[in-house]
Amino acid sequence: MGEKDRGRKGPRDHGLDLDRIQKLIDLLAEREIGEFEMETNGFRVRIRRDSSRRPASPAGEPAQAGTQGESLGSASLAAPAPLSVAPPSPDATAAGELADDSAEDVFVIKSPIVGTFYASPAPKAPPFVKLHDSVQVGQVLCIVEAMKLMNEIESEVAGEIVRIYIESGQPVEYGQPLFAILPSHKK
Amino acid sequence: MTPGATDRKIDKLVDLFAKNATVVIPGPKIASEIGVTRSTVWDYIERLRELGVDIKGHPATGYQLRKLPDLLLPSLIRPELGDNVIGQRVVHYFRTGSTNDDAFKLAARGAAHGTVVVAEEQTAGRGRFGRRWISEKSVGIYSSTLLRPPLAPAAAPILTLAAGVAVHHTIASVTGLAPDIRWPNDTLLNGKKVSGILTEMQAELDRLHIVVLGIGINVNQLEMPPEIRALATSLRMETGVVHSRVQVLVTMLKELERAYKMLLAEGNAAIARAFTEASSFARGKKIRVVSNAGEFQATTAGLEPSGALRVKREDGPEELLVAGEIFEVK
Repeated sequence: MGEKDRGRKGPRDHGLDLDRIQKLIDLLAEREIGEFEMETNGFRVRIRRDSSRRPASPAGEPAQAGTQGESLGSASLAAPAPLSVAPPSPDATAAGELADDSAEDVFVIKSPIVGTFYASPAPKAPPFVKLHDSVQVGQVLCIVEAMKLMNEIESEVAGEIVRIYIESGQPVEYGQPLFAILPSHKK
Repeated sequence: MTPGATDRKIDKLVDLFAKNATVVIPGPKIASEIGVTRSTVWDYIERLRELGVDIKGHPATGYQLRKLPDLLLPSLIRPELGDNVIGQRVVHYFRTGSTNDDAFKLAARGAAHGTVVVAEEQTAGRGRFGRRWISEKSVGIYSSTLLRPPLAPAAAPILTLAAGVAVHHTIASVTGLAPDIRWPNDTLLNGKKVSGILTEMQAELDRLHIVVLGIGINVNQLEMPPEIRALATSLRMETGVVHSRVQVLVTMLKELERAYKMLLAEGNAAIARAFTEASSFARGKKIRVVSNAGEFQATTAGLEPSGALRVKREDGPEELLVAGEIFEVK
């Protein structure tokens, strides 16, 4: 970590100093993005997260590059990241979080248990919610059952159901996306 | 007046009788002690008599309780529980819609882990998928236990097996019979169901808020409705004697506490082991598996520590059941 100080205090002589890489790693971890690679004017950084361990160190090759520091916009982070069945990170607290293609701020509700997904409270009853329904915070969206434990999944946001990922009666894995909700209070 | 408030007044009335057992209590004294009019006292007494409470009226002098009633009253249950955390608070209703719904409402108002809701009668008692749980007045146990377990939601399903083991041990202890448990948690006597458990959880992906264990036990029913006669039975029908519901409930709450503590101290595997010891369904049983995906036949091949049931399908591969219902194939 001999370069730490320089990275923090030094002039912006290239696009990716250690601080920026660190921030990048934090962001990737927060969004549960598994793998990420970018190149900017000869400076290439590749970050991989092993789901069973803490985020891996960056493997960068520092290079002289006169690029501007502000090129790390969120667009470059919109990498596909199919990590839905990874084990929980211990500090995660919400059942949903921003979808990976987060340009729309879509909130994804995920299954907290391995089990069977039920869209309605009883076999012949209408579903709790349908596509494009607007839902309130705390509204029941579905049931996931495991060993007769009935888990009523509630919406954590108010908004519109923009996607239902699964059909009633299908098995679900831990962390598997169930619904995408477009929050109504968009910033 | 809300039903809950009426129930509390009647509880007080029974308390008053219990503290003054065999003593004749004047009507006006009862009225002032529980804070209702004399006509309401009369009404309450009639309701208690309907529930089988033996109260004698003495003209001009008052009312006398002849025998402690077998009602699931907090004042009769709490003293039997000692330092049991489960049942540290008992909320009793003479009549309610569903004790599970009541438990969720109490939880939303901050009720503690171990709060137990019991009712003499449920008007909307339910099982899974909106199936009805018949909750006839004062013959069964209709209860819901609120838990706030320090578990990840993904690890919570084992609680349903823990509850099944607790009910199994309860029924073994009060009847002296040898019940069976059908995975995941139906307690059976002679192949028929005597208990049903509906477990409901509120959780986010990585944070479990509450679990409500709704447990029904058929205790003193003399017969079952025709549509479930082949499938269900009661303790009385199997033993030929009337059982004290207070004793069944107290035993059950103690067994629940034991199973819950065992789960937290020793983990899933201990519950899976206890289940395997108590159940003929854990291994080598020919079963039919019924789920949304259809039906198939299989032979059971042991329980995973998670509580999932390993089965060998007749048409080939081994499979791990986490959902669905099973039935014995004879």
